[in-house]
Amino acid sequence: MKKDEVAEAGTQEHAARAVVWPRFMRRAARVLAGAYVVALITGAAVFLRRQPIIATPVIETHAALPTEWTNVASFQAGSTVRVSSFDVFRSHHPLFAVDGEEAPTALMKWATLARDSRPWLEVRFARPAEVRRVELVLSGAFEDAAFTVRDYSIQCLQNGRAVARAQVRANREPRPAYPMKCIAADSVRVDFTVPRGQRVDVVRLYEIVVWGRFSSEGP
Amino acid sequence: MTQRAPVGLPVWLWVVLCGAVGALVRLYYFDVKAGIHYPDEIFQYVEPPFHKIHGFAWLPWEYERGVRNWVLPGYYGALLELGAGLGLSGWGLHRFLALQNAALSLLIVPAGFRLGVAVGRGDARQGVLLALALGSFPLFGYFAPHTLSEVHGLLLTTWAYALWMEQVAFPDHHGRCRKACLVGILLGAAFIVRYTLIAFVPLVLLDYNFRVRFRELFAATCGFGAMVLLLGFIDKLTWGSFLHSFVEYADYNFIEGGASEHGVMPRDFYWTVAFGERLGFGAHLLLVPACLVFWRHWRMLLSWGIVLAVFSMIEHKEERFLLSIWPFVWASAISGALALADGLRHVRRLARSRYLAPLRAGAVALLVVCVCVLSFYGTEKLPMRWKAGIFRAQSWIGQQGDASGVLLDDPTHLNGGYFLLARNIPQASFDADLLSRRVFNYVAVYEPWSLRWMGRNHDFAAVARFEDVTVYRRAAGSTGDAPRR
Repeated sequence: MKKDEVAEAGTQEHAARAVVWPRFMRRAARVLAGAYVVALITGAAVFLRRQPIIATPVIETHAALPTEWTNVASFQAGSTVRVSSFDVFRSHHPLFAVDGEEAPTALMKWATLARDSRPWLEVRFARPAEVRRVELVLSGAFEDAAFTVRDYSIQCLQNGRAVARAQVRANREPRPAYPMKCIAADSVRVDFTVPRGQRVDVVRLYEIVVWGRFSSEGP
Repeated sequence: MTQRAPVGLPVWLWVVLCGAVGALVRLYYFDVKAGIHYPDEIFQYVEPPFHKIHGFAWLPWEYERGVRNWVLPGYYGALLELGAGLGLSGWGLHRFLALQNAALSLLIVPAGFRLGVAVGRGDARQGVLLALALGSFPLFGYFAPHTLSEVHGLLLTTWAYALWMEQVAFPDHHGRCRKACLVGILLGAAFIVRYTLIAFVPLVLLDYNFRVRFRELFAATCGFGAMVLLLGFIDKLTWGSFLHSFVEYADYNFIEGGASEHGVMPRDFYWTVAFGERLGFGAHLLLVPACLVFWRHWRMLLSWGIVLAVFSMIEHKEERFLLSIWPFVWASAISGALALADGLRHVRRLARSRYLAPLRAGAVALLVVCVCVLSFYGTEKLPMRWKAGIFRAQSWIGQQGDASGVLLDDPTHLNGGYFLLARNIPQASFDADLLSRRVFNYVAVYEPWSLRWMGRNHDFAAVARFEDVTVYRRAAGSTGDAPRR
């Protein structure tokens, strides 16, 4: 036992001197570690503050914008979509709501996340447009009618200000259409109300069609 | 032992040289390989923070149920912000993360040195040899440029065990409670990044207990407990309940038996694949000396033996799960080999020669080199550029201003996700029915039947090629380049 203790003391002394790092190495290691930690903290601070708005990009098309009456909400007419959320687990992307598909697959709809308590969708046009009618294609058109969203409001917006509004309660129509009269509208927004804990607790929207005509001059 | 090791170089310079070798190995693998080893590295750790930053992504079911915690995604979130600050996105950002992880994994070299010195009870040569082994081990080089949790788990468990072994070897050093607390914190952090690494905890705590080091035991338990508390609060903030992710993880894997849904492997999988296929004869070169002189490093043998036994009992097995045991396999092998090389003392000519010590170290260094060469050939069997073509194709498509939708030749969880695409447009698995949908105007495929199908489709034309992947674009004038209604 005594012998072991002596040996142990020897090895400890030994180990204590195992590496003597030169001062410049110690300093370099400290600077490197410090810079890495500071960079990480800075990145983390920016990361934690992020509250992005989900928006689709402008899809470049080679065709000029039509001047006749058309679906100004179509992505091919240069529109973009902003939404409160989308079902990122099942890829029900918001662009599907403006893809102009008349016979979409089950994938090709915009659906919100279950935790999204105040879902909304906003279609921004490529140019201000005169809007005549807004049509929705809801889940009842292709799925169980129980999934059709019941309550929502549709607004025609001009610089973020509502210039026309349609309030809908207890909708049963799978393809409702609403006449709207707005001049030089730059977007249409739909705010949905979803009851919690029911089959219709998420919004499933296959299409939004906005009949209108682009202004001849830009904004 | 002195501060000077063989060839007259100071010990610190040997450690730096081991680091340089490690850096070369990692640079080699960073260069020759790309893509992924396993889809988790995108969808469990990088895609979630990308979603937090940009609002769009594809997320796996684990993030719907809350089976994962947000610690590692938060870390990658910070790195994504830094990368974006450098103007990187898509493929460039992916490579940035890979290089960052490869560089970070070099921290295993000093950890290996300290572990080696501790296992060798103050023998700096053993430390240098272990640092060399861990720096140049090709399997670590292979996994280092991946955003897998195992890379961080490996570093944390190795550092924790290095500090613990220092306490075993030099029990009367100052600040032992502080160091024990750090051991607990590191093991707790390893547990946070990968829950199964909890298998490394009991041995350390039991060792403190049986050596009657109750103050250290208390300090280590406090350190570990603090990390568990931290995880609990992070889960509370992100998932809404204390330790939500761990409870869900345990529920899914152990109560519902969900682990086996991902594949059931035979009990000897780790032996045949991780040791046999990856090391070949090198497995014997490591294990024979380790076992022959087991009394010198039994703690190291237990370190990996227990974990190997526990992991072998879990039905779903993957080679990467075992990454954290290799430093301890190496530590026991080098310790055993050095003890066996002591037999050189019995060679009459060498008995009093000044070359005895360098010869002993040189023989073990040769063993390290042999095993690393064998491991290199074994590691070459692993996929080197799996999904690299799809990743590059996605990144390229994401930069095209007219891209409105992408079809890819893989299931959703086997591509680079929105992190690589970096554009908020739909992407879906390649399906001939979806080809007629206007929104999908880009296709990236590599399967022969998909290529044949695309070759016959006159609405699309090939526009780019990345490795084995061909990218097609819907031709202008085909179905609906203008609004249809």
